[in-house]
Amino acid sequence: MTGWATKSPVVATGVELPRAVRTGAVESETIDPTWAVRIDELLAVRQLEDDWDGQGTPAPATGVVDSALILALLLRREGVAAPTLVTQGLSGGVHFDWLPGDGRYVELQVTEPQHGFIYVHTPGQAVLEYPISGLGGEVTS
Amino acid sequence: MKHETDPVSADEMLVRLVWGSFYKPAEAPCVRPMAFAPRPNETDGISVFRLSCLTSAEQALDVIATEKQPGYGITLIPVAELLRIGMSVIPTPIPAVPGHAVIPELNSDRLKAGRKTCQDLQMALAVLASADVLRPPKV
Repeated sequence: MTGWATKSPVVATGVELPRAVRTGAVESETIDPTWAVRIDELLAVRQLEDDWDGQGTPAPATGVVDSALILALLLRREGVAAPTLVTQGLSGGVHFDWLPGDGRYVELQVTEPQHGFIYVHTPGQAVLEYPISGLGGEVTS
Repeated sequence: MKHETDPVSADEMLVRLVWGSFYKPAEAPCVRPMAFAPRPNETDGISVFRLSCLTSAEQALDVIATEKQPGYGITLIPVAELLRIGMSVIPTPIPAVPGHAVIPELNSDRLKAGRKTCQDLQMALAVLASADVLRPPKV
């Protein structure tokens, strides 16, 4: 597996993802248990074959799914709430999304090994795009 | 019923088939933007079907292999709303199902050139489709 190093590159973008609710004094209790479900879903994505949707859509490359898995594990460890949704995309990537409850819609796409984008949609505003790669990240608007 | 080569009018409805993993009931938007991303082979635009050319919205599923059909939900998008947000629809007949058309503003070449513009359009379509889910996915 290729990796995202030891910290998720999301930190460098400054994008605030929803945090897991701390349930106790032990650090592991800040980990959102829904992550286990999402990681299982990523493992299922890894098993997909081309034409998974009956419309000829290619399955995400193994390296893309592996990067998504590592990113998920890093985000989980960093206390980020589990995404609302994890799925393969129609253009070969892997998508996570969050609905933080403040009107925003946040989507993270892993499009290539160790590379992707975060999109933050806020009602009434243009979408913000944050490329993520390795440990780096910068915003374009 | 309209003929599939007739021009698309603003009073028509479009059918968009949405894969089950892009649909989350009881959330907003329940149809996610990624449901409208261009597939790699959609160089001319993402696929839709003109409801006015079909005997029922479910007929659009005939383009999908039978075993995959339960995985799809059926959503409706008003052409008038599509036009209002600056998108268009072009008839592109195919043998399998009448009324096939594409939304040319969302195509695979544009996605390669930059995802951000596509994201805005995909979100706009997600909001429209979420307002009219005719049939949720069965699996």
